[in-house]
Amino acid sequence: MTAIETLNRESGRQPSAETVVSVRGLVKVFKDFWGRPKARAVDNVSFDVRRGEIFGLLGPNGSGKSTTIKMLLGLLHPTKGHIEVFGKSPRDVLTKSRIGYLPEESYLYRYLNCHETLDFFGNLFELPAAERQKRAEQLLEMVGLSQTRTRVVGEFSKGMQRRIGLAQALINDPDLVILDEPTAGLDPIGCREVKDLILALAKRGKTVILSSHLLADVEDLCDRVVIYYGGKIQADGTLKELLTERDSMRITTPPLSRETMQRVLEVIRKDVPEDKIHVDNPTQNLESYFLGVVERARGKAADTSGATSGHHVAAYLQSGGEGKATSQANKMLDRLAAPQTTVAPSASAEVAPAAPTVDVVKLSALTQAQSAPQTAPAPAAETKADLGKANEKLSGLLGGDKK
Amino acid sequence: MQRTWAIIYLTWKAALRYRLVWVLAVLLVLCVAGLPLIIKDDGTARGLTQILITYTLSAITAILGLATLWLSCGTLARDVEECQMQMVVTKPIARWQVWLGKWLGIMGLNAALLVLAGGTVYGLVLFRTAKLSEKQREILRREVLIGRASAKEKVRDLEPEVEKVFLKEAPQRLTPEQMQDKKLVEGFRAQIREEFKARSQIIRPGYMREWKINVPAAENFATNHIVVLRVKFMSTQIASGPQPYLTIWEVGKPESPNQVRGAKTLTTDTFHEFPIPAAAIEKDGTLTVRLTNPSQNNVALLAPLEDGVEVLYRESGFALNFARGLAIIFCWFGLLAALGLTAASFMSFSMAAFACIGLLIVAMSGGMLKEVVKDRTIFTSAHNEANTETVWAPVKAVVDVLIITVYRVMLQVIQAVEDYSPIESLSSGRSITWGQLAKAYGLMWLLFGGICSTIGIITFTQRELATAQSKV
Repeated sequence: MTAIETLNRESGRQPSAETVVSVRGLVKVFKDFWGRPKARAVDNVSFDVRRGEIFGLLGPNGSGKSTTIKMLLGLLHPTKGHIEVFGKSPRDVLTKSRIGYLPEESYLYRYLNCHETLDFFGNLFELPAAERQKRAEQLLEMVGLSQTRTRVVGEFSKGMQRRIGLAQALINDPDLVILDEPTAGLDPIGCREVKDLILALAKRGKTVILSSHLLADVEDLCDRVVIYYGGKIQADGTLKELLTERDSMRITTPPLSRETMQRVLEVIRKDVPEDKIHVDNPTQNLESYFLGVVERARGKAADTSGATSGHHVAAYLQSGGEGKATSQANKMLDRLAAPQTTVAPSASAEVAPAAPTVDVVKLSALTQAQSAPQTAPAPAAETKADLGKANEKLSGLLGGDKK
Repeated sequence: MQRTWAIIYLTWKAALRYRLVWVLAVLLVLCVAGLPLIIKDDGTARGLTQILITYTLSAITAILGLATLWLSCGTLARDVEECQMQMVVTKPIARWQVWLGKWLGIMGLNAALLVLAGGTVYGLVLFRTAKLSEKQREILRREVLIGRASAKEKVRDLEPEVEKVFLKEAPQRLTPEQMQDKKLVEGFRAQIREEFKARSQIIRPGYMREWKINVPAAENFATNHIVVLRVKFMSTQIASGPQPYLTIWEVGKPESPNQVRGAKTLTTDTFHEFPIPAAAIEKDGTLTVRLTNPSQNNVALLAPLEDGVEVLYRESGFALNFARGLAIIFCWFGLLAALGLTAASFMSFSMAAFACIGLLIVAMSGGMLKEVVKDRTIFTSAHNEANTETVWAPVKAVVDVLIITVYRVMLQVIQAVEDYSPIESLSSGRSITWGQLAKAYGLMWLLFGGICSTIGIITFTQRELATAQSKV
């Protein structure tokens, strides 16, 4: 289990029973000029998405994920079946005021700069000028583009275009956010920030539909997923339902003495054959390690001409007052912002390679008392600093509960 | 409205950032400033001014008209092709608002460019006029740099008299079988009608023809109000070119002290204008005009019913008239923009641009359309073999029916649009009235534009704006 996933589960976020998106018997057949069927992109798909849920559409390229999303947005018309978004047709104009959409590629106007882009989309939501200005500033700050606000989008790298795309998807403080490959083209820091943001949005009661073929994204974020292949749903359910291996167990503890370890293994050996028992050290996942390295480098360095790491998450996205920060939310966010300290060890256990049998020498090494690993990227002092920064960053966003 | 404004601003920004506006502005100003240097005129100040107005306004209309079509096709079709439209229509804006916003954006650009180009033409005309002698300026003020309204004799309804003669003559001249032939009967009627027309037009030597013309608002005319008689006549004698004839004109009520008389030698087949006193018009607005064909001419003269005698009087100044003329050109652009957007609503940019420009070229060859409609076929049988004719005859018949119907509708639209041509009116000092302006907008924007935009908006609203492969 990864860090974010752990936080996700621990956050106590409970999707509401209210159905935001309802899809029944959805079929999409693309036809050629003469009306002859060309491809059956989506075949008899049904699912519901509930409020506050992060719902994943997972599948290989060409499996029908994006086609489903485009039908949810009214860009494509279903050949058969029924879609309701907030109880209405996806083509209903007013319903769209509650939706934020990030497409799989940057479809922004290349001749507009960052600020103009957000101002344009803000106008489409009929936001007053002062509000547009405020939100644009906050969003640019949030996605790390505040220093490039006057550069036209056409000059941006793919990652920067992704960031401004994400900002425009949030300009209306949407109740439903539809993200098609949200981390595509982003560097690991950007990926992490986007994932943090998605979790934060869901915590605020927003519903998120996420399409991705990146398994890590889906695993880190989603409460429920449907897995597409060949236009059909092959599997669906919560990640726990889908991923739990019922025929094995894992126990994670602080380092144990050799004697204690021997005793534990003795007990286990009574019930389990030798070749079924694996013992090793947990490791961090690469993402956590990379983020730590970059964070340390940032402490020493240096301006960048591109996107910077996002800072304060747009304050307007918090529906409650800023002063209403509840302790529960802050606790969750503290943990979210500092994965290295409490979460990473448990999360990284998942990526540990399996040893074929119990090796006594290795066992001896394992049971030696250990300090922080020498290669650990984030020493304790820095981790505290990270925590403070992340806390500051997200407190603006999640200071109060949605209700 | 905020959403529509957003699309309007976006269209302007696109045109500005892609430098289209600047290129067009420079092109228009160069065209307006450069054309007078290369055009030839008849040597008179009037001729030069008329040509200057005609050529520059025609050039402006052509450049901006093509740019309007290009831009209107591009602004919608490119947005759809490059998927930006997916970002827009997933926001709470109705597709008709997107369509309307694009149209208004294009028209805003057109308005700015037309004011720039039109203002340059106006300034150029005034600049050139200022260098002329006072006499030439006076001619220009009276005949070109003015908005003159027109009054003609009320067209007499000949039909009751035609019908009366027909009922009397037809039974004697046509057999009962011939009376069943509709074409023949209509031809007989047309012959009678032409005889009546000829009687109204022909002035034999030693005879006089009188016109009574109602001049609206004449009671408000000052004594020096500009009133001009514009006349044209022909002779019944066959000649290789215009021939001079002595004519005697009497203007004003007979025996009235305000009546003026004069003998003028005028050439046939040419429009002549000469000033007449405003006082010659009676208080009820009636102006009596008499043309006598002196016996010494020995040939009958013919004053056409449509434009034989016409009274032109000052209705407005040149500036206001020029502004109304530009407003009608602007009205044309509105129709072109609607056409371009409609094409782009269901076609790719290249196809829409090709279709619109093709349509424009066909529309400009009105003569060809008229010929085809008159011949009732688009095919020529001169080089076809008999066998081919037999085999393809049914197909050709179907194609003819379809094409001729389309051509007929196009001709009617072209004719209606051509009726509101401001360039000729401006160069001949004719007034473009508020009524004409309102009718032009009603016809071109509300009727033709309305039909076109309804088709475009419905198509755009129903269209799928994405495919499985993202790009449309």
